[in-house]
Amino acid sequence: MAKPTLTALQEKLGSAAALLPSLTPLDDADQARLCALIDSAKAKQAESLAAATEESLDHVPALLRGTIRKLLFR
Amino acid sequence: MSELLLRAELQKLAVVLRVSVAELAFLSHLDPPSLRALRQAISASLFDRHAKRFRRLADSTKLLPNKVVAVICEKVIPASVAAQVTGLLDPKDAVDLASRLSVPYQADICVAIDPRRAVSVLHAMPSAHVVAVAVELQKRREFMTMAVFVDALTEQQIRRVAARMDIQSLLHVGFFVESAERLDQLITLLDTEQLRGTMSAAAADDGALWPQVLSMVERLSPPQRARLGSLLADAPPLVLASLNEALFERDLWRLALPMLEAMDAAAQEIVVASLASHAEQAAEAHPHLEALLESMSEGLRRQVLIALGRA
Repeated sequence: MAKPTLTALQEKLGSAAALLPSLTPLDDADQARLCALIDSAKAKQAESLAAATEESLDHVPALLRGTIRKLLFR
Repeated sequence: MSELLLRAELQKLAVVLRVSVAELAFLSHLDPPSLRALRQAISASLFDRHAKRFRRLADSTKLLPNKVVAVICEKVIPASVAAQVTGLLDPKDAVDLASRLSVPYQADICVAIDPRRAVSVLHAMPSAHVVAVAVELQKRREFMTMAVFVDALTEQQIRRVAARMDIQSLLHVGFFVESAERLDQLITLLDTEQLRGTMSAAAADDGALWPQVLSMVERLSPPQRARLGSLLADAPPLVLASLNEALFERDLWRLALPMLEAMDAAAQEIVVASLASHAEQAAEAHPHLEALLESMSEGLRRQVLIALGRA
């Protein structure tokens, strides 16, 4: 059985869910849409973070790249 | 009023979620404080998810000279990522790095940053630098972004920024400042000429900014309300006529009451007397006038009744 969406939204936000206001005016469908937007924002963030980290290595001398990659991705 | 705040909150949430405002239309029936709390929760969650990575990125800036870090930043680090890392930098390094980054890039960072997570870095920034970025934000009409910074900057930084801003922009920013205490401090920092300018700015463009001004005044402390009110008593007839129009034709009476109540009796008399020209319209156009009169203090009610020719 699918989880009620408010719980899903709270889980998605982790400890930050404590900051969550009362969202009772949002019906299940709207809460599901909000969950999808949060997922998408997380994916975009991960993408730009990975790209930024990888591209920044191009500016580092080749000898140091391995070390710095380890430092950033460990 | 809440329409303006609602739109502004939806815009901020759209930045955090990296979507267009139109995609958030389904949230437009939430009230502005709920949207603000939702944004803060989502923003915190996005940060928490990659907190370790942001920390490593911040630490990695120490491995290279700031001159090189600045070049890398502008070329490959999106402002949205730099915004998350900024608060994790050593404030001294951050100041040096900022001096090497372009102002437009830093303005982009400001739009995406949660200033509450970068207070120590922001406080370390020289005022001249803060002003340069603020001028860029003003140029982009990023008023809500600027308002969020009013809560995070030092008084000196705010004073320097306020001195460089045009009055219309100050009004827009003041309207969005979240903390009433900081808003009061911002208004306290304005000199009489700047304050006088707020009245003329509100009256310009067919009085478009009166709703912002009155809603801001409503949140001020009584001394600052009185300060603005007394300037209104000295205002040119055109300004008072514009206020009259806003009060009666746009039904802003209730918003104006805190300012009218805070004025001294002499100022009240001048301002309220100028409303007399609208006396007839008032009774017809304002169906709630009786209830409104009831909610006024005795002194103000008497002045209004005189102006309306009822006393």
